[in-house]
Amino acid sequence: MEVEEAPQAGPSAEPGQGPLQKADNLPWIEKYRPQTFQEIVGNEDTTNRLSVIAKQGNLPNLIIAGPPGVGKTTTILCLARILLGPAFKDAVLELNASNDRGIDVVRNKIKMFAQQKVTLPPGRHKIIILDEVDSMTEGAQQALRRTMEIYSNTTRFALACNYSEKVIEAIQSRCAILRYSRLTDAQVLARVIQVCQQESVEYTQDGLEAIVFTAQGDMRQALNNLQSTFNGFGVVNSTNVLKVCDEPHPMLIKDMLNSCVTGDVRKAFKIVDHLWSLGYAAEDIIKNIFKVCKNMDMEESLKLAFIKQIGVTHMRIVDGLCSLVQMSGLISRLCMEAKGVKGE
Amino acid sequence: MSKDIRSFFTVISKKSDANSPKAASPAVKKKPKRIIDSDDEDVISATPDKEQKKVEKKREVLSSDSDEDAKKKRKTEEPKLKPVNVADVFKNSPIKQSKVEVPQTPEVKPTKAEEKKPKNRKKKHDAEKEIHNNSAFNKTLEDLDDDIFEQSIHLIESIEEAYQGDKEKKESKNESDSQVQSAKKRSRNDSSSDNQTPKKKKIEHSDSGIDPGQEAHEKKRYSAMLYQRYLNRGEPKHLGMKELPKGKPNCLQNLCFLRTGVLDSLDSEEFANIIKQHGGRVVHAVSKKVNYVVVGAEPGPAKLAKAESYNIPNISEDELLDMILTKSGMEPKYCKKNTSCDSEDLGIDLNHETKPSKEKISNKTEPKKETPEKKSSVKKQNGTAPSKIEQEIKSETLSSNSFYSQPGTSKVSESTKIENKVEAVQLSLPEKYKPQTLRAVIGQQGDSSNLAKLKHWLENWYKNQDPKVKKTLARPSPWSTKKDDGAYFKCALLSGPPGVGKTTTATLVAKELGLDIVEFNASDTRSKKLLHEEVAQLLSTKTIAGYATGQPNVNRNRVLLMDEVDGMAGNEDRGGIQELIQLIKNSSVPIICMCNDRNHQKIRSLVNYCFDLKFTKPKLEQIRGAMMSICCKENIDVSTQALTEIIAGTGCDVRQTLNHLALLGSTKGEITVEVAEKESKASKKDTVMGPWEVCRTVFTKSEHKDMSVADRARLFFFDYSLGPLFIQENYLRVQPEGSKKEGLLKAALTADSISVGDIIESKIRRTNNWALLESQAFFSSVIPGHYMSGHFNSQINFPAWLGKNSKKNKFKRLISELQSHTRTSASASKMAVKLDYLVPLRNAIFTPLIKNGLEGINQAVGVMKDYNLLREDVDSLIELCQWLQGENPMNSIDSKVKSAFTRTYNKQVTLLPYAPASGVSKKKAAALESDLLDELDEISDNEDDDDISKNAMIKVKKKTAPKGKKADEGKGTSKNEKKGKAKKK
Repeated sequence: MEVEEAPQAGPSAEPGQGPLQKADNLPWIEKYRPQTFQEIVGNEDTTNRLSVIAKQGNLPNLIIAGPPGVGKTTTILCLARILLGPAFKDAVLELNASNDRGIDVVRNKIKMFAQQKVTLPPGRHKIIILDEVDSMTEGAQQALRRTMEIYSNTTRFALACNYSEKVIEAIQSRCAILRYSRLTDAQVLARVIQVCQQESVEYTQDGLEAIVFTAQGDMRQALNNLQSTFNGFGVVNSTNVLKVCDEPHPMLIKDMLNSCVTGDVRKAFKIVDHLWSLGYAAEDIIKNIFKVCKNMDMEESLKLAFIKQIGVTHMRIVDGLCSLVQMSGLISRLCMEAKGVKGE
Repeated sequence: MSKDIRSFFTVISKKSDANSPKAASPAVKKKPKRIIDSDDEDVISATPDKEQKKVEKKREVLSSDSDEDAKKKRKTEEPKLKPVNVADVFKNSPIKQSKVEVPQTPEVKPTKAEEKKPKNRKKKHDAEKEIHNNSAFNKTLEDLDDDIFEQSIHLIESIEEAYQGDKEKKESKNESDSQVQSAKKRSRNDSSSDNQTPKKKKIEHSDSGIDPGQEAHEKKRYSAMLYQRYLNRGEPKHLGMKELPKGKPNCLQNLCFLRTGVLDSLDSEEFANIIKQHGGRVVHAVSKKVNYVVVGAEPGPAKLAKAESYNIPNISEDELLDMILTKSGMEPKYCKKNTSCDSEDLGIDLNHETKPSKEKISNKTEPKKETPEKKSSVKKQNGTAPSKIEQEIKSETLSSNSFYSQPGTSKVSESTKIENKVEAVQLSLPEKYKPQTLRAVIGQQGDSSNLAKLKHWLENWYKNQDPKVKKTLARPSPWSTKKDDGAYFKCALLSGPPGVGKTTTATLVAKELGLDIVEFNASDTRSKKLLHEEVAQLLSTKTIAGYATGQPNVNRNRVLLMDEVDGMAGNEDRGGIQELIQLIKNSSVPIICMCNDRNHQKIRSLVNYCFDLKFTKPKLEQIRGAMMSICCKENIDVSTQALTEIIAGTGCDVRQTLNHLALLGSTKGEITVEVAEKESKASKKDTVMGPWEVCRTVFTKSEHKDMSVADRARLFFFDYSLGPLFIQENYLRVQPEGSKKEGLLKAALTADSISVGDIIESKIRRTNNWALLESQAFFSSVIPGHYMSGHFNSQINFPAWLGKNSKKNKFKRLISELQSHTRTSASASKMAVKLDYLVPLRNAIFTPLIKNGLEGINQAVGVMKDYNLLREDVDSLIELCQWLQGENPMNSIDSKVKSAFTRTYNKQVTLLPYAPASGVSKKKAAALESDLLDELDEISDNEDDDDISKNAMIKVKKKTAPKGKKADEGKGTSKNEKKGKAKKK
């Protein structure tokens, strides 16, 4: 998934400023990948704890689980880099989903690596990083079990995954599980501003807000969107961002749903009409309505009623009835639901 | 028992080697001479007698920070640390230094090792020791100690002489001489402490070249001795033998109890429970607030003294129980028995004994040193408080801390602490605190535990498998409730959730019994071929490790450990289970298999051949005790409650708890309950929910009330093809909240939502528009769950739709067959065949048979001929006409007629206008048997495998196989294919 710049980045690599000259052609997500724990945004509790471990050594086996773009891989790489320093190259085996990780690889490559002798300072161990471990087959995970234990004197595992339930229980039992949560908007924003300053990007307030909003707590997406906007338009403002990200603005949709809740058909329709005139496809609009509605803070039964209506409309749109009429029909039905009017 | 000690030294020793310099680095500065001295000694070492001496010397060596020596030692001990794996077959690793056969001899070594160990190792060792407070153990120690003791005195004196030039040394000599004497005296009475004493003294001695440290050491020694005794203290004599009173819940309100010593029938937990139940409070330290001190056997002298100073009344256990009864208005009854008097005596006895020595110490102390001593006496008090594990631990660290924090040696302790850390850091917590003795396995104590069963089984294996004995053993029926010791079986299967200690148990038991372990786990390829070749080879070879280490018995027995048998998966391990079963059948060594899920399909065939031992999760309290002691050793500051949270979060998984503690422990400061709660939530293992659980969670209010809408939508995604079916099948079994009338309405709304969900699903499948899946999640799962939120009235059923659907497909197939057969005579579509032809045809064939019997046969066969029907078609006719409700016409026909009918039909040479189908049904019966076997085989392999045998191409290739078998296989697979198809539809 990600291109690792691990080998060239020893602890000596100056974080933040260093990459400027050498890495013009690097995507920003790589360029600004944190090199130290202090730079990692979000989940401070966990990173603090890990940074202590990084100093002390004796890393327990870890599973880091969390949604994409919150810094799981980065954390593990940081950890490995600080723990192992110059020995990083020799003492780290990194395998991600792009590598072959079948049973035989686990039984041969990983086991071999675990058996290898690498001279390390006391308290340091070889680290095997298995990124996206949830994509490993069950058999391969089973084969990993005892290896994790037997060689724990010399080798530690750091696993990253999106869904920890896809990691078999036996592996979970052998690891300390850390859960990363989505980053808050403020955290993403802070980092985005920092990057903007370093890259001397011209930005407006609403532009950054739009970026943060579209990222939904995914730092990687935020930086990618920022870079795309910057490369494409030069100026990061909300219209440009939305041109890049190209999805109906969730704020608008939220407004629309709120006015539906209060039963204000006119206002809601105005918004939908506006979105329609912007040229969005009905399917994009309905998908976003669904997404926003699912996460909106409102009474549960009403929310479900809304979702029901949205679902039905979505179905119609999929059938090919993607016209404004369907959208306005949806709005009126939503308003009726909110007002408690029996339809049909 | 002997084994235990040895084995726990194996791990600790490594750590301690590095630690050792710390203990005595002050000595280095002053006595460089000693290094040389000791090095010499080291080289010589041969006879046992000398070895004893050497050991004594070695202590000096250790204390003199000689790197070489430490290294040497590490070298010798390292192999023991190695994990047991296949390689172990070739070297007899686990018990290198000792002989298992002679029960006494091994004791010598541990003791020696013990003596070698500098004090900070002792901390650990002490803790370990608490596990085996076993009288046999003590006895052997006692025996040994007398010998060692005398020698050590000589040694000490000779060493002492070496320092005579030094003024400080002189003092210390006197000191130590007196110590020796006093210790010797003590040793006669108190066996547990004296093996400690000489060592202690030695260490102190080398440490305390400086005068001021002196009496602190004295102090230390004393507390260590007490602690040692505390560790070796037995369990309550009449544990669980008394009937506990049930008083009024609050009869002990506002009363505060302190326990000291071992009570007659209550252990610490029961004691705390009974008091808490009755509204009282249990504390662990003497204070003015304490109302009663409950005194048991071997009470802590300091506690008693302090209690006396506060004028707190001492009561016995019986008095306590009576108090509960009287306070709740019942007749006291416990005091009369008074079984505890002898133990009480003992307590007093010990008291007398220890008191003088204490006085002696305090006499010696200088006023300046008063403070540290006081401190340690408080600590000691804690240490002797026998109440809770928590406190044991506290005392443990405290007593060990007191080693560090001597003013005289503070510098040393700083530097050594760092070193200590570095060493300790090498091992992960779960490895470091892996049980080293059978008694240390959490939740496996007692005679009925799996551990004991396994041990018993393994012990008697060779006896039981003797052909003569074997004959007398019958296979126990799987339903018999009789206790079974597995004598019949050649293999034991340990099953249970991860982190309960299956592997540990197996390894320890094998070690204890002196068996070599050959381990195969999921990280080894275990295919049929490899198993066959390798294992057979391994088991027939002999290890040469015995020769190398000079052990007399080289022909040690082996045990084959098949770890993680459920991990035998995929193409690599093809046929592994089958081969394993074969192996078990013919095995000449015991085999132990381990798996998580014993009901897994892969394992099921194996279970029949195994002595089944199911491991359950240990209780939270059991884990907590052990964890507390570890936390303490690791200096992790965690409250009991926080720890409880963490353990509960991991679902009583010891290993994961340790992993988590390792993580949490990295931050300094106490782990508060809030943090722990948060962490425990995080540490909860996620497992994929099965459709049954999903269905239950969707509808059960108590289970989903805390979930957000998005979370509930996620439930759907666990299995989005089966989940909706389950919900549709079971939604009417739910008793929704609210009135009955509303219930109907709710059901209607639910049905409506489910139907929409179904529409969406078909749309998704038809157009591949998976964007709709999320909508379906709501319609098929979230909304029904919202409406019908309540509780289940009956069991959750498997969706009937699946069965019905496959039946429908079968009928479809039959009809199309019929249609094609009758095509030339009846030009009807499938629908027409179904509606218009089926019943008349059936009647035309069967009515003559029913009415005319044998005479009607020709008529019936005539009809069949007219319509070009096969004999099989008649059966399908009957099957297809089931909806007519009437009796099956076949039943009313005489069997004679039936067979005659079949014969007549078969006799007729009919020219069919179509090529009869390959005659599947005819072959069915023949294929059935081999088919079943094949299926078994296939099931045991991973289902994901692309089944080679299913592939028609490969079937051709298998020409080398015997002919009959090949044909069978072909039939079998063709049937399989059909089955697969049917399922898919």
